Amino acid sequence: MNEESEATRSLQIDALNMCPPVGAMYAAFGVHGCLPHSHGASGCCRFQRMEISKHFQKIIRVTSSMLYESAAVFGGEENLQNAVKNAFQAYDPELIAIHTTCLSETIGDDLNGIATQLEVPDGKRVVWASTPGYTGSQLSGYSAMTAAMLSQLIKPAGVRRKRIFLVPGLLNPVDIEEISRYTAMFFSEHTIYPDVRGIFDCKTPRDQREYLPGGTPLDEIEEAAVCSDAIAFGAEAAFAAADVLADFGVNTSKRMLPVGIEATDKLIGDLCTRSGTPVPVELKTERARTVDAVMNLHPRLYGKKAAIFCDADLAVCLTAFLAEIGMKPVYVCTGYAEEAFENEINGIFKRYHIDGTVNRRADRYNLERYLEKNKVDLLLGGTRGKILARKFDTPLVRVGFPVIDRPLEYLTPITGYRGCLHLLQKMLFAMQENSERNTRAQDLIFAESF
Amino acid sequence: MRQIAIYGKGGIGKSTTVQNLAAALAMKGRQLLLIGCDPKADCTRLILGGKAKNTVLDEMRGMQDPAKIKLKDILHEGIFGIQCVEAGGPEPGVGCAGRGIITAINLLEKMGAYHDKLDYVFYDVLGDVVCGGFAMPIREGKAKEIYIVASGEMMSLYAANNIAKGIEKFAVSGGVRVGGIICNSRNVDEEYELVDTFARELGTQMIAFIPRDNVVQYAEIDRQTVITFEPDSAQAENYRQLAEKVENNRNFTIPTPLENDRLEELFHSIIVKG
Repeated sequence: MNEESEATRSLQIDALNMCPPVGAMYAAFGVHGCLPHSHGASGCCRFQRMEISKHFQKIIRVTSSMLYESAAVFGGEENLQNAVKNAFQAYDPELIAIHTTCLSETIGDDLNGIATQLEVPDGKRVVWASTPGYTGSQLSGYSAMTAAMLSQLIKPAGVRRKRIFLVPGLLNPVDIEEISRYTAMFFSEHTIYPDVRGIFDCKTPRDQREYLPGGTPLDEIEEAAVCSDAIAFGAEAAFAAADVLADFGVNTSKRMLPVGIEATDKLIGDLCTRSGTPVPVELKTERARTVDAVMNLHPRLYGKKAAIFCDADLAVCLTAFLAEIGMKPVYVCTGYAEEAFENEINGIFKRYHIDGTVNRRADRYNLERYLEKNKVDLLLGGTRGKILARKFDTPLVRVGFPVIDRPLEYLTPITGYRGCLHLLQKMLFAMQENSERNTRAQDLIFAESF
Repeated sequence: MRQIAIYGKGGIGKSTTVQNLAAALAMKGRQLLLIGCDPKADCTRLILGGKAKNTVLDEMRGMQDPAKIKLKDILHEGIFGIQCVEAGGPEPGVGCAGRGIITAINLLEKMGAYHDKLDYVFYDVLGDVVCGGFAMPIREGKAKEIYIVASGEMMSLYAANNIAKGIEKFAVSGGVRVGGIICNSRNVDEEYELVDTFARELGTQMIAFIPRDNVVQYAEIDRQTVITFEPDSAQAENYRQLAEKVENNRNFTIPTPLENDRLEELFHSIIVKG
């Protein structure tokens, strides 16, 4: 069932989504030696940078065109020219990935034209993506930047070879690692793009001209079209890049994020078919362990109701995962998603006979209103849901981006079979801790028998 | 101090009308500030005897702290002591001219361009009020009086009606009122009756009917107002009369824009049938 938008309400109360430039920055960091550049006012860049900083508890560097009043009137071209020149001198990146902002989009800066006039040192590159802050979500920005970098860097392929190109959605480095680990079992060569491993999980070098070893190498992006195969994960964040690859003749499939048992099974099935390699014993063991855990924990999880509020791509697979282990994801909302999102979620509801509600333009007030009328056992979403968790005395499992109040949370995978185990554990722990907090000391039990 | 904004379709003769009106008022000893709100910066050419050398935004270009701009660098004195300022703006096709108007007017206020000795401030605003920036002169209690320059041409009245729709919004929330329609004649059929009827249906008046006269063209080529170019001409007298009417005007109303159908009907009933 789709939640009706409240026609009488003309304001957002505590938005659930972030603006596209956050996602654009995130994606740009996933390229080796890339410096994200925000073409806008300085405050805008600061907010976006800080969201990523807080999630990973680390300093990150992003430059800004610092558009002042005069740039708002005369256009930002001069600022951008100077900024790019300065940024190459001061930060010496291989690539500068420019994303636009509300201001530059509203005054109508012609980035397409300006980008060709920029002073770029020999062998260095500049790419740009259009990411006005007032449409879409962080995933739209991630998608725009990922597709823009790819389409501006990719070269037509001469000879194709057995190699797979993976475009993950907005995930933590540890989840990229899981996807990479699986892929390596089937393909001897693979590229992950964007690849935030060795970037967000490493200390930023003190020297601003030094870049971390992580990120997708530029030449692998340029040569993407030589890959025989490609998989993109997540409709909102990665399908646009998949379309670029498909245009270059790469055999591309579009999948949901590999979160949950079935989603992981399907990814492995896909890798297996594409590579002609049988599923390794190791993976079968992992899967068996996960299914066993689900069976064991079933009595404690079966029928538990959950409300999910996170980015659209993650919400789809979390809904599917909860449904497949017998829980009831009765309320699924996101700040911004395309219509396909509703269809996906309603499809899951139908398949698992769940009387659920979906809202793709929700804010936290929608969630609050739902929780006032309906009791759920569990909340799954970002840090900013903690106030509602307290208000309704409902355990909260922190998933997705950003989680800014639990240091190192980003090291826990949610993808693949291991991710399933972690999610199971997190959900169970959250519910147990909540019930123990509400139990008198003398009534606490040490272990439930099974 | 009366602050007056002049709107109207592009090319209708706003700037010519305002400058002649300003010259006529200044000749009577009134103190005037004329602010051109058009990126082309050609609203004060006849008063200054040539294009203004420096616009507010020229001065601001590339300056990180606009507070450093000095009033004397952007204020130009023209005939009869009329103070002139051009807001200026970006090159066509880049930046945001609307934001430019907002910035320029804010700067003028900060610099103290509006002083007590002024009798009139005129804002000459670019024809099509394309965005919020061009409504700046009538926002936040600035100009309280508006005159719309129009002719009997269909597109001109169409534009005037649209402008009235914009004004209506500000009139309801603020104190801005329409003082009348100035008909700058194009010699089209039944022009007087058409514009007069339109003005009354709009809830206002046709405050003046300025006939078409070639002397305006000659004066413009000579970078002069008609008032100074040929003070004894009939056209100069028309502008002086306009100045009298504006000065004595007491008819200020909230406009009642016409429905599009009614506007079309007006043309049919007056021109086709007439």
